[in-house]
Amino acid sequence: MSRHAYELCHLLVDDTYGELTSRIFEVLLFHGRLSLPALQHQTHLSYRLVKHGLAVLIQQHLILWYTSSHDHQTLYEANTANAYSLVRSGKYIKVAAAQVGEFAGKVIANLLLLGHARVGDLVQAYKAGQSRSTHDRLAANGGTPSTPLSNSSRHEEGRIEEQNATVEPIYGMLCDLLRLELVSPVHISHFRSDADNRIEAEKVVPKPEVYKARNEREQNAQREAGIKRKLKEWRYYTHGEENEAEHLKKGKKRLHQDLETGRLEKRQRLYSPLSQDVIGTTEEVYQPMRGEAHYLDNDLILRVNHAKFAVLIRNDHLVDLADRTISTSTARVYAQVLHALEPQVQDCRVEPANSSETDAEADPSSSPQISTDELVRAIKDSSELANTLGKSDDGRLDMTQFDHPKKRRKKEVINEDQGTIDIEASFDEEEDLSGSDEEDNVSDVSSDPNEVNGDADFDPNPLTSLPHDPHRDTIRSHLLVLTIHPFSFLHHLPKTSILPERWMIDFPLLTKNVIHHTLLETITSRHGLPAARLTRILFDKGRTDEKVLCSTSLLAQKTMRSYLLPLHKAGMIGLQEVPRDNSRNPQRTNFLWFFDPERCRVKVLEETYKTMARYLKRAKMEGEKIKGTVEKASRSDVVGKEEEFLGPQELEALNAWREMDKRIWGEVSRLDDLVACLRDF
Amino acid sequence: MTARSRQARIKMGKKADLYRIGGVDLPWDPELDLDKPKPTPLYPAFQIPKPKPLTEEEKSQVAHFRQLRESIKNGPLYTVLGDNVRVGKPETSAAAAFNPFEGMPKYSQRYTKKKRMIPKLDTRPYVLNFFPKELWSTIDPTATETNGVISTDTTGKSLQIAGYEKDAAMSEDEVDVKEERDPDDEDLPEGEEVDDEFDDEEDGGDYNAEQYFDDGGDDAGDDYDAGGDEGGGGYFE
Repeated sequence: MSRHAYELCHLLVDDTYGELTSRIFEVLLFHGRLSLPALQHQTHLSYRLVKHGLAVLIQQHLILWYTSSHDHQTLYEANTANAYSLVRSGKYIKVAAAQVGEFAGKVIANLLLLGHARVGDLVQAYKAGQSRSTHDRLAANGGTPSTPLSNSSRHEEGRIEEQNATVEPIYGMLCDLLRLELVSPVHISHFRSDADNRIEAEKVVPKPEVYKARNEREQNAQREAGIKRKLKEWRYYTHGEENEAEHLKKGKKRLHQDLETGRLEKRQRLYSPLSQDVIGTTEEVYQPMRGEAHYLDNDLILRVNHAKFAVLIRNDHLVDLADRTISTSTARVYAQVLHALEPQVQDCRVEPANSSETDAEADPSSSPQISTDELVRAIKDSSELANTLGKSDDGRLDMTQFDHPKKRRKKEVINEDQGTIDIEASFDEEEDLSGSDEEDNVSDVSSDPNEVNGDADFDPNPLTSLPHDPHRDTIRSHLLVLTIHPFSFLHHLPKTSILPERWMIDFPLLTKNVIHHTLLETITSRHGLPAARLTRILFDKGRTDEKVLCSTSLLAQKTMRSYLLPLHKAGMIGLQEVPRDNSRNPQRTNFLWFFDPERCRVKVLEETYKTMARYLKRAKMEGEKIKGTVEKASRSDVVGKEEEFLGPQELEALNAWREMDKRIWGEVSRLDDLVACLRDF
Repeated sequence: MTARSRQARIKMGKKADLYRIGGVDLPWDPELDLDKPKPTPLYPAFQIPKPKPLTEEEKSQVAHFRQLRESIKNGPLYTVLGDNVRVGKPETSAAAAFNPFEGMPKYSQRYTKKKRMIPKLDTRPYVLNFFPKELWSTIDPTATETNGVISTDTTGKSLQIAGYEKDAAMSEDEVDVKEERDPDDEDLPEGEEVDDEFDDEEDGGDYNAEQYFDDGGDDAGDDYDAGGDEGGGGYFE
């Protein structure tokens, strides 16, 4: 991270949690890991203040700490990732509200407010709040009467029912959020940096000598795998953790039981109008669940899962992109695909399981997939999708495009054989094509004779049944459109003898394309369309001489230079000098232009951080300008009665400031979209 | 004599006396039209790119964000440090920090939002295991190394959650206002709240401008001591 990123993080912490915390955070950013005495020395604050500030920062997951077992010294370190996430809190709430419901948004907001919290305390707080306030929280969730629940006004029986009912939604909601991974259990490793986690994992995992292997190298490799597994366990807090967290054992087991068994029921429960419970019609059905699988262990500690939110934001971004580049209806199909794949994607960036699979031939079975049938079931109504794609285009979908180049050559031969294509019989044609595609595919992997035979037996049946299902065909054609798009939104896995036709998303490739697209968009908006064209040529051709570039881009040399130089000045493209002889005379030097997407990405990211930091400073400045009025408006006797207490000028200034603040933060959130795209996806 | 003036003189011929004073050639051209070659403007006209207005979705996002931020600011963790917190540096005296326009004690000051210098940690239960041991005593004074799993003494402590915290904050404020008049507030090592000028009553001080200030309230006649040495006694704007 860079200076501007640090500045941004510091400003965000300052804006959210105030001066004490931000001063400590700034020192940690500036000096790296520090112990408490060193921190006290650097901040020039009293020990008492520093300790209080540290407590707040740890509670909010803004700093990491680690107590070494050697000298028992605790070192603190700034957690820049989480500090940056402060800017996304609004998005998190919005996403949760859109995905699960209004109430989920409120729960997420509260978790963001609290940092992490025990389930028991959270439920208690909700209970207390319920009995204290007249909030119509439940109405948003399921239609429970939102009358004030003052204990005296209700008769005894109803009160007990009501008590149960008030606890119900929060438990259900937490279960739901856990299932969707929007919140995750907290583990002590979440407070340590990666390096410290590694040290701890090395302590836990047995020594290399324990492993049974032929030689030392294999032993080390096995241990390495063990450490990786352990780190992953800690990270996602999955099984095998029982020894570590004895006190959470019960809760985890219950939780997993809950996740596996009572999924459907829980959902029903959650969205069933709870007023019916009170009346007693469906009470019996739901009763057995109560107290068993449905309840979470009160000692489970939860926090907001930033990684999953990044996945959801990425999904939204991809759908938006599909909407812009293809069409709205296709984007809707794509949204369904992404939604269906959501449970399988935990993190935006997944490093390959082992290093040997890093090349492009990594087996596709490991990445998230979805079969056509599942998808067809997921999309209830395709009537709106039906006529959105031109029919003639359907038949001519070039299936060769998403084949291997070797196969493509074969396919061309086949297409020539088929000759003219009947436009009316588009669906049949497409099936034929895909059929031949499958045959092709199989003949390519002829090393497996079983598959060839199986496929030959298997193929005709689905073909005969399929064309009668327009619903399925519509969806399928939309999926194919997504597949042939240059961004490669989807990847098509043809039907094999064992597995049905499936679709998967090659996220690394897609991400690369999306980032590239975003960079080009940025360049277009800053330097104009010809500049973007030049960049694309450079990307396509690699390092290019000016003359070649001139002839390829069909621009006059003078015009071209007027675009290249600003690009170079802005750091988007680079210039390499290659002398032809030892004299290094400029006359005898080749100047090669090049475009490095990675370098450009870092550059744009850097500038975005800087802009965001300046926006925050501006927001602070604007607040400072009318400080007196803002302070007056926040007086306890004025809040809510601004019109009464404030003069017209003050009111006007206050409203103007509020509008300004909203606009500034809106812009910051737009910039954050860019950062998310370039950094997190 | 510069080349230009000589040239000008030659060009103008008889009107040469215009170009010299006392027989000495002027080093500049008096007929030069200074406005002719326009100097490049220092700030050339620049069309400021205007961002698109926020969409409804963005608006609601921002609203959520601001609401959350507001509730954090109203919560127990938001802090505002005064100027007097630096250790090893002489404190600015309250007199120096006094703002003569806004700083007068006013009745309405009792309604102003309290500014915390130090976060209020004892309002909620904590999971002590997630904190280093050296902070345990800060977070929960009753905690010892043996009961470290989960803070057991959670009586009377519950999480303050958004949507309800308004009530909580209000009640808390009321308590604070009452406490303001507590005399034992002065025992605190450092000001718990920055805004406790009402407690700053102390005898001494040779001249006191506020001797004549009478707010008619409880503090009537109380002197504001400009030289008060209370830690958090600084006026805060």
